[in-house]
Amino acid sequence: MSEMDEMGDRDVELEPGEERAIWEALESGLAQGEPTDELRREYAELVGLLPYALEPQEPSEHLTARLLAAVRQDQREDHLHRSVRQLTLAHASRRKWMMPLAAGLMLWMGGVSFWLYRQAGEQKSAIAQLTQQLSTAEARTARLVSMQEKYAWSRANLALVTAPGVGVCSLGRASEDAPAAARGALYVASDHQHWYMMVEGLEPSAEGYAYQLWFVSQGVPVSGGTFEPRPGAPVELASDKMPPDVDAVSITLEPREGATRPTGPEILFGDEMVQVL
Amino acid sequence: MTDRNSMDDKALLAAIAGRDSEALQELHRRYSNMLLALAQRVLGNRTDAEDVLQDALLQVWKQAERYDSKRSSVSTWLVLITRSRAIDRLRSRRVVDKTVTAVSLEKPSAHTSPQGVGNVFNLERRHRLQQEMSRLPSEQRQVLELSFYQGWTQREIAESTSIPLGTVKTRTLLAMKKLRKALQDEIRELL
Repeated sequence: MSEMDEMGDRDVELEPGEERAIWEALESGLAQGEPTDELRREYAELVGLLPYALEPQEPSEHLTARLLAAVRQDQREDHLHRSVRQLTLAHASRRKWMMPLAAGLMLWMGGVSFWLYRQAGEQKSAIAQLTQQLSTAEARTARLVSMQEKYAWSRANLALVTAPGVGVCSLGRASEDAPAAARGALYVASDHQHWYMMVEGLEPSAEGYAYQLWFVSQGVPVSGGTFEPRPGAPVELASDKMPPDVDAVSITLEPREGATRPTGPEILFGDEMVQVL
Repeated sequence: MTDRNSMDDKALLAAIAGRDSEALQELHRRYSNMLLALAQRVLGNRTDAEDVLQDALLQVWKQAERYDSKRSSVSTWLVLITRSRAIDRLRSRRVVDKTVTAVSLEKPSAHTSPQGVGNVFNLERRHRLQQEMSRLPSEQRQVLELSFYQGWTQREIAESTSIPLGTVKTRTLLAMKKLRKALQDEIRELL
């Protein structure tokens, strides 16, 4: 046992607050929500110095390119969100006077009800008609918001599939048992994180079943989610997360709640990524 | 156009908060060699390390306005973000090897930066850190590295190394205290 190790069993002489500062620096690095005194700051900076003992490693050009592509994508999405926000604000300003209109209608209906209460049963059909009109207006508003959200989503996906460095993987029938019209395409952005997939020709899954997407990385399948197509409608999926080193994509039929690994029949498969732009 | 090379780290972060992607590139140029070494030391895998570094720099891009100069220097903030991401990735992989490996010096890899890359200042800092780390008794260096690079709690270190918890804590405190004293000048430069 070294001399220092013998000392290890004795109490260490510490300044007030020093032990806390050390654990804080090692566990989280920075104190959150509390004033930082000089001792805690010194230990935080000490922790920040530790990696300088390592041999520096030069990042690959590929990393730098991916980072810049991700930053550009973020800048485009930022611009898109601002555009959607402007549309939403314009819509909100319309909603601003629709709400007083609806409130006015409600007040008028109250007056009419009071009159009806006194007149008993004469204007019942008029009240029912006005209520219906208000419901229709609210439903129209909800549809408009939903359409704008879908528009923003479609624009983001369009930006992805037309961006420089995008890769495309075609998915074909995995066996003769798969529907003849089944096919798909996976678009992967140059950052290998953002992806968009369109699949069509799948038959609706049976009750209790769903299709499940798999990203296969070095032979290990990682689930990309489940989906249940509607008859005759293509399926669109998108995400900003993708496992690293994907070399194949597969779609299988699984129980509705999803499986931890592929257990059902394989419907679509693709393993060739082509860079198109 | 402002020359980002001449901007200090805080000014670079302020520029990044203003969505200046060239400022982010300059920060990447200044620190990625060290940050990638950190991520690779934690994960033991270059591919994962580069993924983590990219995530960390993207986090800097999106959250530059959250940097608080009263809490740390820019370089320490970057180290803590990268370390946090790397340890999260390590834990999510569930491949933490509880077998304690012998402490050894970092071996150069094919991607090691040649001497002089970065700047002379970083080279000197690296020599100082290596010097002071090598002066620590191996037992103290071991618990410190398990805590910092693997994100293990003191209890996990004690269980894996079969050393009493109290001894693990004491060795860690001693190591940190010694390093703080030995590296006072370097720490003051960052305050």
